[in-house]
Amino acid sequence: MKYSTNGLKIGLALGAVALISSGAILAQQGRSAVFKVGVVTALSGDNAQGGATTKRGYDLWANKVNSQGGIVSDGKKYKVELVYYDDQSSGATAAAACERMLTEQKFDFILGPYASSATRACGPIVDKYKVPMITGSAENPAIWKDKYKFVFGTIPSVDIIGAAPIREIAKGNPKPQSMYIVGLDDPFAKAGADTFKKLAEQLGIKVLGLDIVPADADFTPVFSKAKQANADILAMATQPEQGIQMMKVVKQLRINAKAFVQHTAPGFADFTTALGKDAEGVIGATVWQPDIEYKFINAGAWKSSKEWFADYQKAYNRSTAEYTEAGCTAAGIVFEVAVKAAKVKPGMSEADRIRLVGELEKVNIRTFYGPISFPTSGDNYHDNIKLQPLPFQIQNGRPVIVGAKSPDKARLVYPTPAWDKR
Amino acid sequence: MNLFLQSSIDGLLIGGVLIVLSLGMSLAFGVMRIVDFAVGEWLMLGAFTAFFLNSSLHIDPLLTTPIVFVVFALVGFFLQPLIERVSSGKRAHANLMGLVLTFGISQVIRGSSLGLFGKDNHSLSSALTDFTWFFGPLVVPGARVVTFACGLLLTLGFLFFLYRTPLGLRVRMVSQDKASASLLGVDSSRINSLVYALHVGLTAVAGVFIGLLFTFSPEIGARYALYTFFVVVLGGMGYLPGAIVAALVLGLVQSYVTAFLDSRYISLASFIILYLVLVISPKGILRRGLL
Repeated sequence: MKYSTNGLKIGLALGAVALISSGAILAQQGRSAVFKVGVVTALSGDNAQGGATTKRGYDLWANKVNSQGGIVSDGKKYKVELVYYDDQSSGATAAAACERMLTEQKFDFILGPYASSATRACGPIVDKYKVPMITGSAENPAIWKDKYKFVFGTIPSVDIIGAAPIREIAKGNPKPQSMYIVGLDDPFAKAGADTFKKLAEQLGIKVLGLDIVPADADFTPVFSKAKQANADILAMATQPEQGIQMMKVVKQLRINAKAFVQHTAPGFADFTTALGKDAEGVIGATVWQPDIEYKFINAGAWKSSKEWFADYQKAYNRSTAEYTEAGCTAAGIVFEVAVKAAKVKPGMSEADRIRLVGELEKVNIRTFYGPISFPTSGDNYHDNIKLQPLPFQIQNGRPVIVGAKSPDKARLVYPTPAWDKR
Repeated sequence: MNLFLQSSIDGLLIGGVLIVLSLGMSLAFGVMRIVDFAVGEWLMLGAFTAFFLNSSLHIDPLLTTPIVFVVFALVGFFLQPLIERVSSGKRAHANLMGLVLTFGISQVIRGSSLGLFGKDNHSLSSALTDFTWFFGPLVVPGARVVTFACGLLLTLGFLFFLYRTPLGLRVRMVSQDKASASLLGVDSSRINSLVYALHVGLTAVAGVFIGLLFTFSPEIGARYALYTFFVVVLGGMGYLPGAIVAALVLGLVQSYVTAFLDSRYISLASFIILYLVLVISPKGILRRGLL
């Protein structure tokens, strides 16, 4: 009797241990069956709108991957889980969020912020913890000159993209002779202003003035100066919100430049909805639009831009998509490809993550967004510069690619009609 | 010289909008002794209300201002007793409690607005402001003239109410000495509600003006709250003529610094002025504010 009682106790104890162990294994399997992806981006603050574009792009990728069973690695499928951290539109907060993210939780990889300042702030931290990060947004060339081993980007820097509209306008007849530049006081916009200036000088266009303004300033005084300069090109290096404000001031002051250039803002849907007909003629630059189709696509769930845009519209019911959104989806696709090649599993070790970086450096793919690969040396270290920058102009209420690469063979309207002749 | 004149025009015209923005806040502080942290959010909601009235009922944004004023004055009127309940009585640090409450209100409004309206930028456009005057090389944009003129009318109407009507007299009595006003039969709670209603209504109308001149999104509140605090403090807490002068000073400083120095120094220049004024005259630029 005594033996049987002890046997029962031992049996129960072993059973409990077995149950707990199997539960733990299952729980661990449950945890590790998902790639945990940290996302640091601007969910509030001045860049919240830009942050929303990154979120839409990343979410679209994650939802698509999960709807198809997950990322394939070593013959198995693993779903992805995105965990967002708000950088509050501040580089310092981005750094703190990144540090917190990597110390509090274990992430397999990171999808990067909207703003260049935030990306640059996260660079040293992801390098320290050896967790790869791809951003589908930031365009400040300084990020890539810093040469962070674990940071990658799918969008070419602003010195490459921002040149496209100026080159197109320089072909105009009569050739523009002068330019006035207004740039916002943030790293991305300042790099854009610098690009405009350097290119103007290269092309023999005289720069009559360059003003850097804080994002929350009233722009009227600075554009009053620009009006008095009477330049042929008024180039504005700005974020989306301030791009709209600047054009409002341009119209209020009736500045009749021959060309109005902004780099990224006119590509955002709210540029045309907020400005209405006053957005007409503004020139911008892009690397992707829904009507650009690439051939020989060999990576990702989308086989054309049209297919991606259909999913995008279904998910968000928005009239147009901006290249950052596509670039963020592409960032996810790049991870998919690298994970598959590295044959790593969720819950990656440091060695796995280093192997993943090795595979990221070897990536050479064609997606709906265009070709992607990452240089491993030079000023564009780990930045995808394979995409071709294209000038576009707001024509009939939408951004239309103009010039030789235009799918619609659209031409640049130059000079832009004066305000009283519109 | 042209640039100086143009900068002066730009500065004065934007100052007109800042006056509307800060008048209500200054009065609310003078009467209720409450710093309303939600001021930027009332402004943002005013702009969104005009936007939705314009897009759904096709009312010109400028013509929505009376509706916006009434709607938000009612909101302020019914919200004020809650603020008073928290910020008065025998509670410890009652004014601090009021401050925290309005900060909480601002966060709730901002968060809800982000969810409801999204993060995109919006703008208001009025056919009534789509003109520009040229005086030789000087440019006077219609949107600025109209918003300045509306701001001026509102300010005059507000000052008339305050200094030329019996109700305005009661408001000033409560502002100067709540206990004595109560002894003379003035219902200070009702006056407080009225003042907060005026503050919220005026601020929302300023939001319509901001929407006509600039862009707006649920995130703009903090930016304009900073301007408002600056004007109210520089003008002397609770002293209305001081707020008017301070708003014009801020507008001109912004404009001159941009034109002749570098716009990145706007905040530096503004806060140096604020610091110097407060060191020399802690009661504000006209030396009549509350301490």
